Amino acid sequence: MQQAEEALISMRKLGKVFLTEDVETHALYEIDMELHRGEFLSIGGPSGCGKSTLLSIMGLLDSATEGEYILKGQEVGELSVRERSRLRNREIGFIFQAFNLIGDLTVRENVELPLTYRGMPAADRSQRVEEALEKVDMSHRMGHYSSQLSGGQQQRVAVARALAGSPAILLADEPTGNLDSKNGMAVMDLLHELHGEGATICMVTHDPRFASFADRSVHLFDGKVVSAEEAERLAKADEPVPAAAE
Amino acid sequence: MSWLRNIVARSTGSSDAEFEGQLDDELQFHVDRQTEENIKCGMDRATARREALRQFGGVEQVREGVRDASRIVWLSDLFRDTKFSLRMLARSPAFAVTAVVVLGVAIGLSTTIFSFVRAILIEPLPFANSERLAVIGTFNSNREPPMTGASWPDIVDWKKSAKSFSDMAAFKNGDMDLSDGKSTQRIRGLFVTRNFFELLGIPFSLGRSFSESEENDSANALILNRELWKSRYQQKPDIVGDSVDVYSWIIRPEHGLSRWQIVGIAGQEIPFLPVAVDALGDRFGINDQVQFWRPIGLYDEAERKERWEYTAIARLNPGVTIEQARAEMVTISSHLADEYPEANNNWSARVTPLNELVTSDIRPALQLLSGAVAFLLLIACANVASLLIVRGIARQQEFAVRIAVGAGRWRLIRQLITESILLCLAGGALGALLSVWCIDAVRLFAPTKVPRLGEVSVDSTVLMFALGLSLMTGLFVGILPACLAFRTDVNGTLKSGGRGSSAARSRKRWMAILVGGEVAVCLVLLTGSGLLIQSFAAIIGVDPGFRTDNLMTMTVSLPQGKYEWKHNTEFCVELTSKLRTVPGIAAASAVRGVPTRETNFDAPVFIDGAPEIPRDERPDVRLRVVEPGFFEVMEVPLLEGRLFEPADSIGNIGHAPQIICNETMARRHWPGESAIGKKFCVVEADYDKMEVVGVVGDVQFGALVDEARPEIYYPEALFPQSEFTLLVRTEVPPEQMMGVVETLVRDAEPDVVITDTESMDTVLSKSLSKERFLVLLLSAFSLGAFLLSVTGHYGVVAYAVSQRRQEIGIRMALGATVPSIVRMIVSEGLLISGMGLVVGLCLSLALSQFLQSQLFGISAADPLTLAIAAGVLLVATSLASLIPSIRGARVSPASALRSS
Repeated sequence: MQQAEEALISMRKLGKVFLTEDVETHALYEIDMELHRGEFLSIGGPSGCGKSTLLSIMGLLDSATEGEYILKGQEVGELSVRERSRLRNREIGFIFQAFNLIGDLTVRENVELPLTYRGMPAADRSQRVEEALEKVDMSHRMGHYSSQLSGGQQQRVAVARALAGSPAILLADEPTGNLDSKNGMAVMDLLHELHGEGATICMVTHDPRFASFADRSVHLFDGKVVSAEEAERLAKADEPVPAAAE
Repeated sequence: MSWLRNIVARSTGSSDAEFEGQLDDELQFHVDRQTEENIKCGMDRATARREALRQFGGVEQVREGVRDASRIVWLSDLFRDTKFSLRMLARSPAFAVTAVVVLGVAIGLSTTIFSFVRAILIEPLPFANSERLAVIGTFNSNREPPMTGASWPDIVDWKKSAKSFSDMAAFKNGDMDLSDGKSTQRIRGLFVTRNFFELLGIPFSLGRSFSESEENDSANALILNRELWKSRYQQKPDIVGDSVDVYSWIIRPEHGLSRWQIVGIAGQEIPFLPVAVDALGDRFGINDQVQFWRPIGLYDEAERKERWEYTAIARLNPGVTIEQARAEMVTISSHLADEYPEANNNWSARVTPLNELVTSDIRPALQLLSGAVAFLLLIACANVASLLIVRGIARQQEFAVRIAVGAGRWRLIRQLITESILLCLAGGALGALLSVWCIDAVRLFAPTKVPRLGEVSVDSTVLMFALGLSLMTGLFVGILPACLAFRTDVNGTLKSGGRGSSAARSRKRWMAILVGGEVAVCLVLLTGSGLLIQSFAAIIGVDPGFRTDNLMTMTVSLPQGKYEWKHNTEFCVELTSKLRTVPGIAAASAVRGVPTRETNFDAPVFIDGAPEIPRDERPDVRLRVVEPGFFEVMEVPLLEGRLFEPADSIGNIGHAPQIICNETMARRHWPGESAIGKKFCVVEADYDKMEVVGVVGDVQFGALVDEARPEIYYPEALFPQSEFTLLVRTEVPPEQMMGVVETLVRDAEPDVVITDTESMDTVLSKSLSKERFLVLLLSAFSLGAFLLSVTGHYGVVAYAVSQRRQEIGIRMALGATVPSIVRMIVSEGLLISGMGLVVGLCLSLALSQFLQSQLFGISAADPLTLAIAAGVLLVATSLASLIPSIRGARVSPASALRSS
């Protein structure tokens, strides 16, 4: 059913090259990938393989230097900075490894932040914030500042912030990376629950335990999508992928 | 917030509920229509609706888009930004207080200077359409001084011929003594033509202007100002037609009491207008109110050569520019020179806007101070902008998160500018408060001759200026840090949780540019104040030509015309003789005009035996009337010949047999030979010749900065004065003798008017008030700029050191010593200040022309001053670099590496 519909995210021969003076670094190379509505995708791979770069491009925080990236049927490469901000605000929810709550805002204000950039009426904002915080079981901490919360609680608030705007997709970059195993598992349970309710999630993780929560996994190695088996082999052999090395 | 939303909703013409309701209805309509279309294509209702919703592309997203497109949300955003900014500032009180104080002082000083500029230079004078009023005098480039007044026949001819003006009037200053039979009251006023009131738009509370016959006959008619009407005549409603007793004399002696009829009460208080030649001293200033007007009267063709008495004032016709009027008056002057070659050859009318003439003396000083305070504000802005940039580095994570969740460039910039504007508004409020105090302080030091000083105040216009300046400063201060915030490395910052970013490098570069700029602007101010201080020192160092200590002055005015001329001389001689006998008084004498404060009469000089030159090209000599003991009291050195003797007091003005001249006169007219015995005459070539019997040193009767001019001294008995200045050399501080002298004077003449009782040191000090005013203010601004620049420099270096902890740790781990680390950091700091100094030197030289007119005895491009100012800044900024560099170099390498 999902495969028959138009993909929420579609990437064709997407690449990212970092240029520093006379050095070219290929962070991503000819990535072909699709993500459908309601899907839970995990992106794995060793450190420096380009996972986070790919997620940044998906989240419109960065731009590809090559190829095509279509989000909800729209080619994003030609969008202006303003249009990208707008699309990011409405269609994408971020969950970061480092939580990235704003220390000078309360829990409520942090969750409310993306909604304020939409110009949403206060009553609607309030309702949405309460719903989102209830969903992550943090509504009792609305007036607190992030410094008054544990790491697990902060990440739950970050999930609520990502959810509050009803985005088309949740992008999670190592959401459990800064948490102990118990809190990490709690966050994964939360993501799993959200997925069960229909959320589209794309998560970067290098932990196979958490990758198993996803419907599907994509493996990156030296900036290129490889099969799970090849990724395992290359990691053991510790040798570069021939295509990416070009 | 509901009230705010209501405002927003009202501004868009609908309430919140109405708007949301209409939006829901509209969206429902489109989904229903698509559902119906799908049903027509064969789908069941449930499938048709699901498909319609899918095709519609998300109701919520469409709803958001419509909201954005149809509603003004900026007001609620502003409210939220303000709330958040206030919280952020409250969390960093040290930063907030520092920024508010720096901005407050700069805005306060700017507001203070603006309030002076506005009241003095911008606000129109209290006459209808005062910007179209012009004062007309005459000019002859062959004469010294080239600018002078106008003769009455000239004014009559100008008025007849000039088409540029709708009307032209004439006036001169004068005073009268009102008498009630028991006592007299000295009043100051104007002799005017009868169209004076209509021309200036002065209404009448009672009565009328002068009639034609009153003007022609120079009748004893008086118009009084309201204040005099209130204070002396208790606002008597039927005063018009009443007669008052007046002792009057201006130039022609008409001693004795006369009856004058009051014909009107002016409906508006007006100040004295600037006159081309002020022979009566500085008591008729723009800050003094005219108390009476009387008809000017006479037309005498024989007076065409007499240009020192009258000034013309005219109103430009609509559409005529001042340049056009000037051109026309030059043409008319040329015709008059053809018609009256003897009197008018080389003389041309000089048209000056009234406002320009009123402010001509203080305008350059105020412009200079405006520039200086603008520079100070610029430095304060750069300082706060640097602080905001540093603060932006600490807030990178916040910016990154805001960008990640959808804040656009403008949205983020707007929020940060809201913060800087809040800071500046707080600074502006503090500045407005400070300006109230500063205005009083500045007024204390301001020269008393500054026009309209009493009108300087903090009113709604000044407060609006402070508000506007605060908003502009907020934008100016905030824009760079805000733009840099948007350049935050979002990915890197979010990944690291906000620790460090390569974007910090560009911030450091900008901070260096800002601080370098501060140093450059500071150097301009330091150089300017250094030059003014040296100029002031040079003025103070000028020898006034007499001993100033233990010398007291007191201006004494006898009722005009009450006594015969002879009595005035006798009174003066008796009074000075009596004073000399008082214990504590070493010597006493009198002079017409106080040295360094007042001018006196100039007249052309005809040197016996000198080549014949036309009258209008003859140099002027200044005539000074003194009581014979003047030179001894003042301790003016006798250079040649002798001082006055009793026998010298014989003759008349212009016909004196023996006179004393000053050194400049002797050197100019008889160079290389003795002046003693030389003969000349003044005023007219056919007057009796005078003989020089003595040469004395130059005395600075004008300002200390003026060049000494040729001057001749008459004994007082030759030119009896109803007003003279007593000069009393005391053996004790002069202040102790003032009461004694005043009692003696009043005992001698109860009707006497006493003014200006001061020590000569005070007179001298007052004569330097403009220079002191500039030096004090510019030095204060420079000191502020210096402190801000040095602290700004310290901040940048300290920040750079904090960012380089790891690098310093690595260097030290590899064997670098503390001195080598300190040297490295200080040299980098010096590079910033060095570049600033180079720019500052160029700027100082480029701007030096604006300062030159305010300097005495020093060039605005004086290399020594520039070098000292640059050296002071270099040393100060080096010290500012040294402290953080030593602190940075003392960090333990292990802890620096660990923390990184």
